[in-house]
Formats: sequence, C-alpha cells, structure tokens
Amino acid sequence: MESSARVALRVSGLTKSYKDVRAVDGLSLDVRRGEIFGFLGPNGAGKTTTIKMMCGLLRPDAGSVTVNGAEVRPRSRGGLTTIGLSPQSIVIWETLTCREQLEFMGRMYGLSRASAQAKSRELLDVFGLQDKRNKLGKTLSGGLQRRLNIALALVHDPEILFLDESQAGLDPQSRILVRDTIRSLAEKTTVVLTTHDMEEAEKLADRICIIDRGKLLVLDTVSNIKNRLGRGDVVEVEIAEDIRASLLPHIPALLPGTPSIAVTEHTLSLVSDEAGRILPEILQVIKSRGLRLEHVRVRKITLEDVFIQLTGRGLRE
Amino acid sequence: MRIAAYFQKTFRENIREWKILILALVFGPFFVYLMYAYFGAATPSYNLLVLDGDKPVVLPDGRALRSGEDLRRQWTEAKYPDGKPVFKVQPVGGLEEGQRLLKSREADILIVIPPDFTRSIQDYRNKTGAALSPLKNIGDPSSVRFTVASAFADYISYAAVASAAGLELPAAVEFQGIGSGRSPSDFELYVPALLVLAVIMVLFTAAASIIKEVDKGTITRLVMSKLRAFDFLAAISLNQVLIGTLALALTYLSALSVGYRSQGSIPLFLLVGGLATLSVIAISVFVAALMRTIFELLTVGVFPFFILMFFSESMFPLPRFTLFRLAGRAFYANDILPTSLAVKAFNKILNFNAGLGEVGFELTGIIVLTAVYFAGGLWFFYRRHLRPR
Repeated sequence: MESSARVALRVSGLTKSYKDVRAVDGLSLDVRRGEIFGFLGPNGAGKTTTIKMMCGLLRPDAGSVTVNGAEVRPRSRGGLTTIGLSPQSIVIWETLTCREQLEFMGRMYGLSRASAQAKSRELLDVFGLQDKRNKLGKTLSGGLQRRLNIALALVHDPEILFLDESQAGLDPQSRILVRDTIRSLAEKTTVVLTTHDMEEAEKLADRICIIDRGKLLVLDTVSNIKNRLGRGDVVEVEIAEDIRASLLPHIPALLPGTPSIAVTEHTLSLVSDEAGRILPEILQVIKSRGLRLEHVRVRKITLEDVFIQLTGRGLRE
Repeated sequence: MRIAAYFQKTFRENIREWKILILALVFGPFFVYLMYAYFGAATPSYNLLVLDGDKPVVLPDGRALRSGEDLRRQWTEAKYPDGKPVFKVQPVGGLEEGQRLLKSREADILIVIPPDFTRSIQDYRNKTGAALSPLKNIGDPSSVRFTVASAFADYISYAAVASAAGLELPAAVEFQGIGSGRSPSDFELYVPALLVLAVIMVLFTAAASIIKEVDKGTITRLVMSKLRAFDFLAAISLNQVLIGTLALALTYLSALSVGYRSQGSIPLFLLVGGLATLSVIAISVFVAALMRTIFELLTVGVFPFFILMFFSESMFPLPRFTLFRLAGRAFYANDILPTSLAVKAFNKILNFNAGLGEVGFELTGIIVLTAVYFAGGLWFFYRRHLRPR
C-alpha cells in the first residue's frame, strides 16, 4: 500500500455482486497523484462496475473508495465534484451547442456564469472545438462528439478524471490531440484510463493494472509488466500445416528453458533474449519435418502479449 | 442559480425540438375546431320530425279545429331566453321516412300525432268520458339529444293539450338558467374539457424532458454535478408550466375565435390552469419513472395519456362512483385525477361565472393531489433512475 500523501485514489476490498455473479471481488489498488493509470481487462472483467463504484454511481457491497482521502459516497449532497467522468458511450446534449453544453455543465457544478463561459472557451480551445462552438451536438462528427464528451468531464477541474474508452472511434489526428491533452492534463489531474487499445495504454499510462473476473491480476509499470513475460523479443513463426501434433511435443526439447511459448494450429510464438540464435534452429526443424513456412516475425514484447497471457485467448461476452 | 441554468437549457431544447412542442400547442386548438365543426356554436336546436295524421274537427258554427297543427306551431315557436329556437320542426310523410332520418342522425326525435288527436281533445272537453289520444315520441334512447328534445317537446305538449282540453296542469314549472341565464351550447359545454385536454398534452413534453436525460445517459452527468433532484424538477416544472399556459391560452383563443364567450374571471381561469398544468407535470414524473426511453414514452406513454383524457371526462361523461363526501361535496373515483377536478372548475368559472369560493373544493383537491403526485413521483423516479444500486 502506498503512502497516503501520494495516493489520489484508494480502492480497498471493493466487492460487488449481481445475483449469483461476483462482478468485482475484493479489489484493492492505489492510484498515485498525478499519474496516468491504465485500467485494463477483457470484456466482462468488472471494469465498468469498478469505475461506477469509483465514481460513486454504484454502491459497493463491501469495501471503500477514497479520492484524496475523502470517501466517495453515492449521491453525496455536494455532488461528486472531485471526480470527472468521460463515459464510454458519447453522452452529450444533442440539441445544445458545444459552447452551451460546456457552460451549462459549468453552472451545474456551481461556477458563476462568467467562470463557466471562461472555462468553456478554454476547453473549446484545448479540444480543437472552437470552430464548432455554435454547432449543435447532434451535428458534430463522431470524433468531435468524442472530444466534447471528454471536455464535459473537465469543466469543474476534477482532481481525478476517469476516461472510459476515450479514444474509441477517433481518427489518427484526433487520437494524437486527445493523447497530448491527456498527457497535459496529468500535470494537474490524476487520470484513470480504461481502454482495450493496448498500444494506446502503453503509450500513455505510467502504471497499468489488469483485472479479470473482478480480481486484480497485475499492477505495475508497463516495462515491469512486460518483463514478466520474459526478456528479449517475440519470435512468431507461421506454418501452413497444423503443427499441434507434429511440432508441439518436440518444443520443450527443442527450446529448453524458454518460459513463454504459445502454440496454436498454425503458429508458434515464444519469447527469447536469444532470438538470433534460436530462430535458425527452429527453421531447421521445420524444414526437416517437411513443413511449409508461411511467415516469420521477430518483434518487441507488447502489452497485448502480457494481456493475452494473463487473461487467455478465449472470447468473452 | 442552477434552477435558472437548467431552465434555460430545457427551454432551448424545447424550442429546438419544435415538433413535440408544436404538437403540444396545437392539440387543444385542433380539438376546439373539431368540436365546433361537429356541434356548432349556437344554442342546441333539436331536429323534430312530425308525422301529423290529425284530422280536423268541424264545429257546428263551421270553424275547423286543428289541435295537431296548433301543437306543431307551438313547437316551432318555442324559444330559449336568448331568442334562439328550441326546435327545427320538419314534417314527414310517413313513419318509414321518419325512422330513416332518426337512424341516420339527421333528426333527434319523431313525434307521431294520431288521426283522432283533435277529436279526442274535443270529446274530453265535452266530458264524454273518452281518453285523450296519446302522442308518440320515437327516437334513440341512448341519444342525449333525444332525451332532451323529448323533455322539451313533452312540456310544450302537456301545456297545449291541457289548454285545449280545459285541463289544469297539476303543477307549473318555471325554467331558470344558472350563471347568466343564457343557455350554453353543446360546444360551449365542451370548451372546459378541451382546455384541460390542452393541459394534458404537457404530459408528453414534461415526461420527454425528464426521460431524455435518462435515455441519452446525460442523467449521469447531472447526478455527478451539484444539481439536486429538487432543482431538476423545479426547472422542468417551470418550463412546462409556461408551455401548458401557452397551450391553454391558444386553446382559449381558438374557442373565442369561433364565438365562445366566457362569463367568468380570466385570472381565476389562469390560476386553475397553472395548477392543473403542475398536476399533469407531477403525473408525468411518475410516467418518467416507469420508462427509460423516448420510444417507450411515445408508445407505452400513450396509455396514461388516454387515462387522463377519458377519466377526466374530457371526452364524455362517466358513471359516478362516490369515494367520500367532504363538507357536503362528493369526491368521485375519477377525481383522483386532478384534471377531472380541473374540468369541473373550468366549467364553473367559464360557463357559470363562479368565483374563487365556488371552486375552492376543486382548487384544494388539485393542490393536494398535485403535492401527492409530486412526492410519489419524485420518490419513484429517485428509486428507478437516480439511486445508486
């Protein structure tokens, strides 16, 4: 457990069940002040339920959530003003303009008219919406709506910002803008980022946690998490024939001491810090068994490799 | 401040989503013109068919007595206090023709005068012991117009026959209208109900304003802000009272444009209208609690709309079931809908010039019911849409 002074968000023993299904199972974690925290997990892992409890929108069966030491209580009288949430689905008012929406939310958080207007101008600038300030929400493109969705979570300068799939549906230019904005936000706000985009999480997050079936699987920096899979590179070999019977039984003898080996019907992938040495050996075995090589690739370990290893390849809900 | 900001936001949305707004505003006027086209604005004049088979009786001095003809003339000359004729009298050549006109609703009543009508009156007058030959009223017993026309015609007939036969009527009846004494037309009697109908349309705009936040997920943003449930409902109510009052005013002006003349106090009418609108908003909070999407509102929501419309007696009268009596006043089962009380209050104010004291029972009922519906609706809405689960 981190020192309280450094912790922006503390989750302790958080538990939530729906009938017989335990969606979140005794989850505990700390998010440090000012960090970008990646919150990952496959579909149905309990991410959304956890985020809702963190934001005070859902009452936990057990456990607690604190933001900067203050407990998050659902429907607290003053509102959940330390928290900003940019939900996964686009939640905007279709018949209000961008400017009106931002000013309106500012007033809902108790800003004066002048402050709300100033904040609206600032956010329109930050998110590149100034030209569209007088456009109705429903007339914006999907990417612009997504940007407005994030901006609406920031009108009250929250201490912690939850971004749930904030980059879904954005074009590359918008992704860069949003990514840069999130980085600049992290200078004064703690950001909890939920995404299925491993590359984006890898680029943005200081630390990452992966949960599955409501339980914490891992929480660490990206590089430490990747090191869990092994040091070195990923070697992927694709073969035309089914290799599960012909090659799989011989792998341990072929590659002694290689910890991370995955074999599917046509693919062999492994992690090794001696890729240059073992790759010719593998190719020799393939040739000697009369198998046809389709594709060979040597690449760096990614977060997705770790994610798949931790949560499996099986499809979720 | 938050109420003002939310009011401004909802007001903008209502203006920009003008189709629902226009529907709410033109619904009342549309029905005013529809009812006017159906009933007309004048005092009701009943279509009376006469099958006159009466044969004259010639007296020894050569004069011919025609009691049937006299009776027809009296029906034709019968007038309301405002000088408008009570009947449009039309002779028919036979029973079949008369019945055909009754079935096609081109006439309200057919009166058959028997061939010995004059003779029987003369015989009675001469004390021969003969009975008076009866008139026959034919019509559709389910038609209110037949019942009323029959009552008027009978009264004239009794007086005429009594006079001709030398009889004295057992009792004299004097008619006196309430209010200004002017007989309101069928259309005028409908106007209070049509005004309430305009208010009932607020059910859709009010419930839509609330459900839209749930449907689009924006309720989450509001829940996380400092907006309280009270601010939320107060701002929406304020906005909808404006819409309701505007709808009420347009409906009233439409009625005036086709000749409706109210006898009552306009400020009192507006007070009842404002309270009735609030009561409909309170009910719409209940409706909003039951639904999650605008689609649900526009499909399932039609049911509570019809309940309000029909059980408020906005369309036709209902059988009365008294729940309790208070200070000598009956509180009927359908009065649990505040719009039912509003119809009664409007009728008293607009058609019978009632003052505040005379509609006190209805006003109190509307206020109490509005408070109950608001409290219940708010509790239900909180449980369904705002409470963290």
